[in-house]
Amino acid sequence: MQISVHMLLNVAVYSLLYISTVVFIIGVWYQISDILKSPNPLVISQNPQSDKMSGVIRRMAGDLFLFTSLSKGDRYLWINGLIMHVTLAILMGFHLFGLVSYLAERGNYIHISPEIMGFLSTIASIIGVIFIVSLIMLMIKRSNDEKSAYYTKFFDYFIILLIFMIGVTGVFMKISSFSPDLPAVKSFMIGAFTFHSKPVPLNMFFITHIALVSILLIVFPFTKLIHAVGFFFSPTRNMPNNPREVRHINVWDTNNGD
Amino acid sequence: MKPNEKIMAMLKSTETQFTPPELTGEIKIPSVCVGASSGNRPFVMTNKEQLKTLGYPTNGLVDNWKEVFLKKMAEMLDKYRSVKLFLKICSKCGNCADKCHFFLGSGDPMNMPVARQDLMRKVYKRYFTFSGMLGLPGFNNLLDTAELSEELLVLWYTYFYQCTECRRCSVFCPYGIDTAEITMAAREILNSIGLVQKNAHVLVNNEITTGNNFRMSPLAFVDIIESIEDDLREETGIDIKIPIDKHGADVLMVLPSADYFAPVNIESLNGYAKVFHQAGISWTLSSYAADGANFGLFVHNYENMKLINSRIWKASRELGVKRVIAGECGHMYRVMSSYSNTMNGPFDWLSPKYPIPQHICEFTLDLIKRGALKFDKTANDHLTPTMHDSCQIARGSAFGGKFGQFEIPRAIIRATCNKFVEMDEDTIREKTFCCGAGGGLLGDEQLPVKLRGATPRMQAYTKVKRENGVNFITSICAYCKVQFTHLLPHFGYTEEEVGGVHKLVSDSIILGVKNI
Repeated sequence: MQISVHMLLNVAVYSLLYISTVVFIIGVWYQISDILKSPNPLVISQNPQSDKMSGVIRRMAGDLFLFTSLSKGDRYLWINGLIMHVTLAILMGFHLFGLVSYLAERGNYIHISPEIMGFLSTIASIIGVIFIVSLIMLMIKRSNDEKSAYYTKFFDYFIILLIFMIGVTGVFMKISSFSPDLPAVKSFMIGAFTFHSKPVPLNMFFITHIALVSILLIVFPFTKLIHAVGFFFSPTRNMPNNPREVRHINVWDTNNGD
Repeated sequence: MKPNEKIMAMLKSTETQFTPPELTGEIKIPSVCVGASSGNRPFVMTNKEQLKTLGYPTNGLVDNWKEVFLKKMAEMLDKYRSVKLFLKICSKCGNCADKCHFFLGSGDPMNMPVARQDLMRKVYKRYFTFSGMLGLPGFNNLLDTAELSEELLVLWYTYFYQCTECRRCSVFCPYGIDTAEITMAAREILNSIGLVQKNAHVLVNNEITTGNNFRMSPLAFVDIIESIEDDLREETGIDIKIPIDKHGADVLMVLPSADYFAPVNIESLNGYAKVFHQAGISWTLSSYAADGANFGLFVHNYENMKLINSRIWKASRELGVKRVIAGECGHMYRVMSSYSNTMNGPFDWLSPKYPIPQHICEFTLDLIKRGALKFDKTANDHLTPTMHDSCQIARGSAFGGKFGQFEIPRAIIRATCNKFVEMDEDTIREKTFCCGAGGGLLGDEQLPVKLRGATPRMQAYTKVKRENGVNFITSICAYCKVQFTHLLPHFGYTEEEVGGVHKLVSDSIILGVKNI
């Protein structure tokens, strides 16, 4: 009996993982092609903007890594938003590192001592807590500030709660009594990537964690989370300001009036 | 009742009077007050002939407006990546919320840029995305979508005409979302179903049919310029010419038509004439392209904007000039410098040695640097000027390098005045506040809205006025100048406290002695 429940769970988790990944990839691809379908008829760079591509890349890199534009306004929002995104990126890096190091060790390419792994694990826990705290700070701003509360709707709270729960389940797994069997988790994930079915580690926090991540992947392309992709196409940021020197061509009007 | 009669009754303004707040010199973020600015709307255009010229429905709201609305919206999304992308990617961080001068002046939450965009975003989500199309009508609030309704149209007509398309919100947006692009698309959608705002579109019509805002004939234009020449001669004792339609001149000067009528703008025209006279460079105005103003910019109606703009370049070709210089006007310069080359270029009959078009401030500062102009700074000693950057120049276009649009006018002010004081750094340069009347918000019926929009700028001005004795707002935009002359008296100041950069040039330039 217990084995069959485990099998059902296996099927459910694997389907959720694969379906969400497919939805994510197709969704993002659809959104990018939908954006690219509409052209930029005119140069609408938001000035002061450099007239060279190098300057444009520098500005966008500033916006991408330091949130320069955001920092011109609300400092509280900027600091918490930046911490949230940076810690999220670091945590994702740790996940990748975990899998790669596991593979490398299995193939006898490298050997990482348990002390170093333990140290990295502690660092990851601390960063995870910082991530959760920054999310709480953002949530407080959203609900307490009367301006934000006015335009914040169900889905805005839903997404922030979803990410919050992913963070919480992730950090809980770092507590030894709630921790799943780590090698089993790693072999399960490698199995998922290489299409070799492995049993799902039976741990509440782990299963909730990947289920929530799957939901996040599904909603990502169709909600405001698409800002992560759309940013790179923003015409006010990615167009050099050189319309006097270089003639920008409007693809739906190439007749210049002569 | 026909949909048109119903909507026209709903669009009547309920607010026509507004007392500006007391000026404290401090820009405070107001507490949210729902509906504070919901009572004022601009007049709807009803002149059938003008509507026909513009290519819009002539009998008010069309009967099948929902169909037309969605068709036009789909067209806007297909033509403008900006509109589609900006509707998709807003993450509602709220950084823009307290950056709009209309929100700061009114506290109406619909004037937060994010809420203004949401008016269109809700429709986009409902009719153009999976989640909206899946959603049942009862879930609009949950999904943050909206059905098309007359009430929604009223909100659109109210709040998309409380945006001056100044792009200040875009500076602070982490993704560069520009509410102006959304506003322009929304206005064109409203136009396509027959709800055409009157004042700005009368001007578009006039520009298409006569080439200028004031419907003046070429003869009237010559007359006006002659009287300005007479005044100049009387003032200076020197025969300073303002040539019209002079073939083979070096420079075609393009001005907004306010420069021929409003006294505060004529002062700048005098300045240009004196600069050309002193530098000995031959120039001309064109009676065919007397007006560079282009109100087609303020709605996403590319064809009208292009048509209006083409006059300038036809005139430059016909007159055989080598270069085109734009006068002091914000949106005119944006269309000429950022859009012209795409719409009507390339301009291979003009000399490639100069930027096409050049800005008059670029031109004047270059002459100053080369020592061709000399000034008696003491002539401006009664003034302590400050610089009000104009939004369409500060954030929409540029001249003289990346920060030229900020540095060049300031350099001219410093060359012509002994004193100069900057306003608070959050209110100048790229973070400058709109005067409150840009973006086609020029009707007097919108006075309450314009007063609210001007409040942040007035507070910043009050601060330097009290602390540093500033008594003059300098601007390089015809609309800022006209707006301030109208609104300053409402705030208890005099209308003489505003003028162009070239008014300072005009008052202090030493004429007659050739320095080259």
